[in-house]
Amino acid sequence: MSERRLGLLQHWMKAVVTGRGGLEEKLEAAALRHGLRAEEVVAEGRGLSARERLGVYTGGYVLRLLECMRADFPALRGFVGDTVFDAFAGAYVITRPPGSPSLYELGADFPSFLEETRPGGEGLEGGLRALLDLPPELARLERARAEVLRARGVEGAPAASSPPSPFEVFGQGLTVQATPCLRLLELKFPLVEFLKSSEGGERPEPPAPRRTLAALGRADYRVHVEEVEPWQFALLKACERPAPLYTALRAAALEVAEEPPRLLAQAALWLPVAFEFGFLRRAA
Amino acid sequence: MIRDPTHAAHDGRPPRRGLPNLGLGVGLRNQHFPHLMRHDPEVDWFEIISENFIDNFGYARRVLERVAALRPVVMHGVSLSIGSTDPRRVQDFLERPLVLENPSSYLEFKDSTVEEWEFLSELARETGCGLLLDVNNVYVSAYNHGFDAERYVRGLPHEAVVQIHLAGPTDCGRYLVDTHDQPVPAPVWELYRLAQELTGGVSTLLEWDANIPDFPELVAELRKAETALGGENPGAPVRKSRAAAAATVSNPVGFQLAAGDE
Ligand SMILES: [Fe+2]
Repeated sequence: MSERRLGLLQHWMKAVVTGRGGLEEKLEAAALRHGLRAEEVVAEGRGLSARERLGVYTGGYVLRLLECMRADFPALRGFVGDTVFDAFAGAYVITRPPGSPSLYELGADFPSFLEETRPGGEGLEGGLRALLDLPPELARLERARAEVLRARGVEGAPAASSPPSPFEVFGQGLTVQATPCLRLLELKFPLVEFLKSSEGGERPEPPAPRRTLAALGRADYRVHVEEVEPWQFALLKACERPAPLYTALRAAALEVAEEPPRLLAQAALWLPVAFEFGFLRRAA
Repeated sequence: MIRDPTHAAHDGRPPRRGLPNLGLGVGLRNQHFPHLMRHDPEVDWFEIISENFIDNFGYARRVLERVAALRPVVMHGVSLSIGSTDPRRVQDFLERPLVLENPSSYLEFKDSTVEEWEFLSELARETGCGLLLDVNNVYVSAYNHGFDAERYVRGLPHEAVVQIHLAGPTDCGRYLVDTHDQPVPAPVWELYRLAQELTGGVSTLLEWDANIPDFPELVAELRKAETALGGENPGAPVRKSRAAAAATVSNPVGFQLAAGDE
């Protein structure tokens, strides 16, 4: 077989396996592009047609990736149901075929895909229409959770992750920094409780829209997903790079229009929590 | 590829392609993390899917560190697309032999001019790469294409075989699918015994990637390899699918993302 023929067969096969639609549509598109019909390429026999044989590959390709999507977005799947989830996740893996050797990247664009393909909700009353915003938001939260699970954490640095005492907080010498696994999300719904009860096996009622701030981190290999207050969110954001605590607090105070001394008092109570959840660490 | 090639061979034989016989191993799977963090690993070695650890710094990495301190770990790349390049380029770069596996297949190309075992033999001879002989895949492909599985196994250059895979496929009626979701059936054990006789004994891995059983059950299935080598066949017939054939996934990968935290 010539190199050229081999290359053609490989491209044809890829087009068939990763193409859109049912098997017939895939075959038609591949024939148009590469000028080959299934029966010309695939040997038949043992009672199996070329189409049946190709079907094992085309079906398996989508199902295999669907199973990965189900594993990464369990709460979303529970919320919209298997049929709707599979339809959207199936369309996603075909529209945006995986380009990375790592399956961890597979779901990265799913939230934005859901955002872009969100139904318009014409004819639905306000409350129901707002609900259409929920799936992309839940997907963002679950994607962030999956990232935190695998990101670099602070498990190997016990000294850096030991919570500061109030003495240290007030003592002006503390320099802090976000952990590499910290993720901050601004959500249109209060989804933190929703996610926790889904994970606990419940089927929670969808919450009404409310702007919510969430922080995700990991400590001792446990992922923490928490709703945080605006000043906490602003403080975590101000710690993206190592910063003296007072500098970060002043930036946060400015952001939420609070008096720095008031925030300092609150921070003395909350900083140990932020350390225990793996949001913050002492700067290196 | 072996993490630490200095690990002693299981049987004291000279290494093949520089790689020793490690004995009986299983894949390191998230579902077994809690068990493995608390108990002795029992098996002789572990296989990992390289891509799952390259950019994972979570609990999986912690488990891997523990396991690798106790047993040899073999890295298996499954989606790095190096199987389709010239093995010599990868081998020159890594300065160690690449080990390539025979797949399960469901179609043959009309243009094909050689049989699969002939192609693999040629590949091993010309590039010096090792072969990972998946006897379950041989069985599945032989059924699907109507070739003689025993002839395939006998035809390979046995000195190049460095590892054998075992797994349980599913009978979907007119064809078999490589589902890795059940015990190893009798015909696959038969091919295993033959392959070990021809090679003189190489590392053995049991693959179980969907409906994964608890670790002790997995180990019990792996230990059947000893029974098979003793001349008794420990397997049952191939399991018939109860699901629609369209819902049967060859070579499942979803296990790679299953949660495995404490
Ligand atoms: Fe295999």
